[in-house]
Amino acid sequence: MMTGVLVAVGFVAQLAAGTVPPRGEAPAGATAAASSRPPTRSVQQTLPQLDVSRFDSLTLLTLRAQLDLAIENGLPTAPLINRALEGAARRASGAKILQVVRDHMAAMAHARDVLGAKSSADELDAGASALRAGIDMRTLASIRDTRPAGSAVIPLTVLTDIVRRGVPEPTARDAVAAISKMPSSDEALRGLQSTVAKNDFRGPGMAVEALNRYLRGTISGANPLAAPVSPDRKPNRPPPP
Amino acid sequence: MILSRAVHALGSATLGGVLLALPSVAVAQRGGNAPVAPSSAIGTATSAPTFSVLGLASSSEGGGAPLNRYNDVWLGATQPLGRLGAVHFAAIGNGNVRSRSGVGSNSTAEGTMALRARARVGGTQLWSAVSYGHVNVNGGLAGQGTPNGFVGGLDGSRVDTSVARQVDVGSISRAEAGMISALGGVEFSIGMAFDRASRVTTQTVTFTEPEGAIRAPMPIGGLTSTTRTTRSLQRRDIATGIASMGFTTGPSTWLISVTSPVASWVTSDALSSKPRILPTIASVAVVQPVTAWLSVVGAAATNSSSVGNTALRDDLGGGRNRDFAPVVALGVRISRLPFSGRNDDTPSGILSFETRTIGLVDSATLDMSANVGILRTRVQRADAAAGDALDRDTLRIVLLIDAPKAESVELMGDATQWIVSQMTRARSGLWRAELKLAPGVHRISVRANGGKWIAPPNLPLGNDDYGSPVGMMIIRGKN
Repeated sequence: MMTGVLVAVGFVAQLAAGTVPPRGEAPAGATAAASSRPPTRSVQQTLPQLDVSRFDSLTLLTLRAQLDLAIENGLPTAPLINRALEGAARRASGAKILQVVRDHMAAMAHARDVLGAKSSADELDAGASALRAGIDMRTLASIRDTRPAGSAVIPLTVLTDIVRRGVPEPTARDAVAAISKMPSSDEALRGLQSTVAKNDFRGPGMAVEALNRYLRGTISGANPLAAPVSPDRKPNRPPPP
Repeated sequence: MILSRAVHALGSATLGGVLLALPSVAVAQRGGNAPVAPSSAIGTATSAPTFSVLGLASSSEGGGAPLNRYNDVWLGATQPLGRLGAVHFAAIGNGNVRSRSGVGSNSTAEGTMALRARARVGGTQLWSAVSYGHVNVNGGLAGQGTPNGFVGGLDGSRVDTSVARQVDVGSISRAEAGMISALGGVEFSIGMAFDRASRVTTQTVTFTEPEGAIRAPMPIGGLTSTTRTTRSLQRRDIATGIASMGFTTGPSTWLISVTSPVASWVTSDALSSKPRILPTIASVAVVQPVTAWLSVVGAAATNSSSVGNTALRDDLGGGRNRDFAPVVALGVRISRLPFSGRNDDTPSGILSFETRTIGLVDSATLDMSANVGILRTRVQRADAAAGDALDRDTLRIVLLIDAPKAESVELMGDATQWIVSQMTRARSGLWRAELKLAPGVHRISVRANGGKWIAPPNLPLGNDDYGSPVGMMIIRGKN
């Protein structure tokens, strides 16, 4: 316990000095501090520096406590620091920044429960983003099942993106899961995301239709996963009399 | 080599001839629109709404007399005015309060107002400025001034001559023009400035001589004083070449500039025995953000002539204005938001301050119409040679944004530590940023013309924790 406290104090000191370990380095003893949980691959995380000058003293103090808590729980701190810096860059209030960091930390903890303790920091970050976008935990589990050993970052990122673009979650889940089972599926997932993104601007339902078309072209024999939300395509012009 | 590794970026395909979203982000530590430095200003000039306070200290200019050694408090402000067509206008004002000038022992006040116009033609930016300044010096000469108490007048008598009071009222008009071009992440600006300085000097001169015109070593009897007022007009025309380069290192903005006189004409120079030309001046300035709205500005120049309206300087004696009379400056720059709303959920008003304190960031326009919007995003791998110096796990990636009608495009993301970085317009017309990225997930946001931050088109959307979504990029190393 004492070791954990010392480690936490040391890390806070590094934060105060603006010398958080650079990318690729883990905070010394971070793994030891997380004695109650198995270490995740977050020890391989790339840590951004926390520019302490961007926060007021109260926000900084609370932020440090949250980061210490994340370390104690074996969660990656890089995503949290990034969101704090983003909030400062966008001139968000200290309370808003702390809320975002707190929510994301909680979501990463949930994501680890679903994705597994050996998930990488990027996977936890992507999983947390998916959860915070409203995606169900069972959906995350199904995505993990498609890649029990490989990285689930791209499937989770694509899933979050196309859901945010209006594709119903079951449809998005089935599409991503189907493609993820394919060999070299990352490229196909990129193509799916690009196709949906391009057609998202065309109007309601177009994203789903584009998804179905993409699936038919990617997976032989694939059936449409869902009908467009609204048949807003241009009506076929009747033949001239 | 390193960059022979496969770099996979999410959505890196090209489909149907349309540029699609490719992942990338990173520390685009490059200058934005080049610094446009009026020849007489220390520190980077910017089109962003800023207010600067600088304290300047200069050494003697070589004359040995204390009168030409001075310290200054320099105030400057920039306010974008909007645009007319493709030309962006900004108002620049600066003032200078001098505790001790080269002319008067009392304080000297100077003020200059400038109207600057900038326009982009292809990959080159053109700028021009006209300015008018006013100087008012009211006081007696510092020290003893002109010859005082010398023995032996023209007729051998003892005559005291003193200047009781001197009032200088001067004005300076300046026209400047130049061009800016980016090369290898550094932006270069060259230009010319033409100054016309006019000054009317009113002196009250007192001659004191012994009564009776008795030629003796010691005065005998009373003294006779005669006071005369003289007025003189001095006018100078000076042509000056300006060259500067600006770049950024991390959050710091640097400006190195050289001004060199090309020619000088003296129309009427009653105070100076012969026309003098101003020395070549080299200066360096750095702006270092400290907080979200406050920056520290440091500057140094090889000659104090770089401060104030140099064309109005009183070059009475030879040897002053020597080539190396350094001046240093330390001050702060406060960035503030424009009065109008920015439509990006940020507060506005003079009491609100914005993060973008770097002088090179251009916010000449707040117009964020659809026509200016960002159209496409593309990411390229840089050439292999460029990657040799990189860390083994760092990849060099070029982010290209297609926003043909934008005047400026900025990005920020985790790879930039969420510091706003300016993108530069490539020859192709695309906005470009070269990024050094470690494999992993990166978040990025971009905006055009200082408008709303958006996710780069076609990139996967991340959470919108702070009101607008960010783009997600996944950079993979070698599998």
